[in-house]
Amino acid sequence: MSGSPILRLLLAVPGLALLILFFLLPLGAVAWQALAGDAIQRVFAQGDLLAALGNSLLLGLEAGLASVVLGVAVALHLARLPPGRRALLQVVIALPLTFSGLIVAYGFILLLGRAGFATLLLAELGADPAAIAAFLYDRPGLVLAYSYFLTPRVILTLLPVFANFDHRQTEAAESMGASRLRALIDILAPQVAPTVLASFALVTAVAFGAYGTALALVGTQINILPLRLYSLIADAGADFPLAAALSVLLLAVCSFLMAVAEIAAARSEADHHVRT
Amino acid sequence: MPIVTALYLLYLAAPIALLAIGSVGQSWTNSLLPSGLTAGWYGQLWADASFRRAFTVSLTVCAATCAVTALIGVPLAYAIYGASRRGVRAAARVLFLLPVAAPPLVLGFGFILVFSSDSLPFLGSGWLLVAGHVVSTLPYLMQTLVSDMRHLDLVTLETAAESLGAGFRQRLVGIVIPSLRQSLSSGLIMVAALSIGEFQMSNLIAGFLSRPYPVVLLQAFYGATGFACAGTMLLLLLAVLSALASASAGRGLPSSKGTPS
Repeated sequence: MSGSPILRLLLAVPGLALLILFFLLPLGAVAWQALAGDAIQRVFAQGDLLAALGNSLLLGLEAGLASVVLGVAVALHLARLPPGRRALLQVVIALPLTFSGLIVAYGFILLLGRAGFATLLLAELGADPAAIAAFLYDRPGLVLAYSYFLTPRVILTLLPVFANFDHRQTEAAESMGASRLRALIDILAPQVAPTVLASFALVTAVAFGAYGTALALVGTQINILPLRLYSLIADAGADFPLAAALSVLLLAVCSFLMAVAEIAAARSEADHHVRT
Repeated sequence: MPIVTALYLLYLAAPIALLAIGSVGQSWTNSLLPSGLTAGWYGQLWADASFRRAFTVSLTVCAATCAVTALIGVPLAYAIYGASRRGVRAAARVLFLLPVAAPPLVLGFGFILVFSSDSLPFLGSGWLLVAGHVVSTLPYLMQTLVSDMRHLDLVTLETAAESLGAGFRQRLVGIVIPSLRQSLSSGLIMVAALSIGEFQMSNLIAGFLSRPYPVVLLQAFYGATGFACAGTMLLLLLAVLSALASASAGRGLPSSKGTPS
């Protein structure tokens, strides 16, 4: 093995020091603030904060589901393309991953806002522009905007799995009389299920903890947990223990979802090793 | 199925196309598309002192973030890769998951709590912003580096060099660094892209005079459409350029970047 254990430790010291100082210490301070007083009980006594938690969970699950459904459909198609075209499309699809949430927000305002392109186009067909804008500036609009940068994550995670799937298995099933759908459900689905679940948990966690796009789209008008936390922090002299309690709640949900993703990913890796 | 992909690409392209059109349109109020062609909004953006300062801040923070993540990340990745104990591998997995498990909003709040105290009064300083960007981008670089080291089977290369009498320094300069050239450059471009676009944490911890570009850009959303489009296009162009650069630098790399899975 390269290098002695002591040398390796020395190499890791700067990185570890940085992570302790700028990661563990801040999160520790948040946890300390939250647990020191009765802030956590106060969250559960406040109906509107519980409603925010519920809305955020719904938003996360809806955005997660939408991007997984869309991602599976696109990845299934991409997996059957010749490698050259697939690689090209992969680069295009990966673009939104590095986009700031602000780009997405303003793009969707131009598309579906009160005077947006699609809004006015649909108004020509007789739709009510106010109703479309109300759609954008509420949870459905957030789902649409979040899926913009979540779906690429799903596609890029699933693509290798779908591309490596041995299609002779479903072809064999079809030759024995199974319908195409039946073959996909019985043979492909069980094999890719852990990876799909892992990416669903991952994108749900991202959607649950994000606030940038929502802030740019709706200001703080919509009652979701990250925006409530943001208003508490931005409002100087505010109730920091309550903000810390909301932070711990956010951390707990996101960490739980990431644990689900990890376990599912580990299962799919184990499956893979058994098969090969 | 092809129709799903086509519709998906339309969904990806539509907001970007509208931003591009809006940024060169003279006036755009309550019409399907803007009327008149102008480069004036980009000119205004260039002339705006606060946008120029923010842009300079963003580039400086980005450069510093890349330098620090590289200097700290390569040795750390090497240490993680070399460790054989299960505990280290598990800790590394956790490290890769951190940016999602701990949202930037929560981490930013932690920075406010720790660094606005009397003993550590650093909130608002530029270097603290860099530190924030470093910890939130480091996991992405680590993931790229460690998976590339495993893919290249660096141990075998090093053992061969060692058996021929190469010392640690010689191996580092002659083998480790050159082998990682591709993944390091593609990982660093990814770090740069994330740093330039970072809004959620910077919005909380940046000082008034060290506000990076995305934080200032949000104010523009409440003004003229053309100006907001031009401002957003600038950010978009930087993101697209770095994504394309990262893709070409990382050709042949095993992992798909930006997906902490």
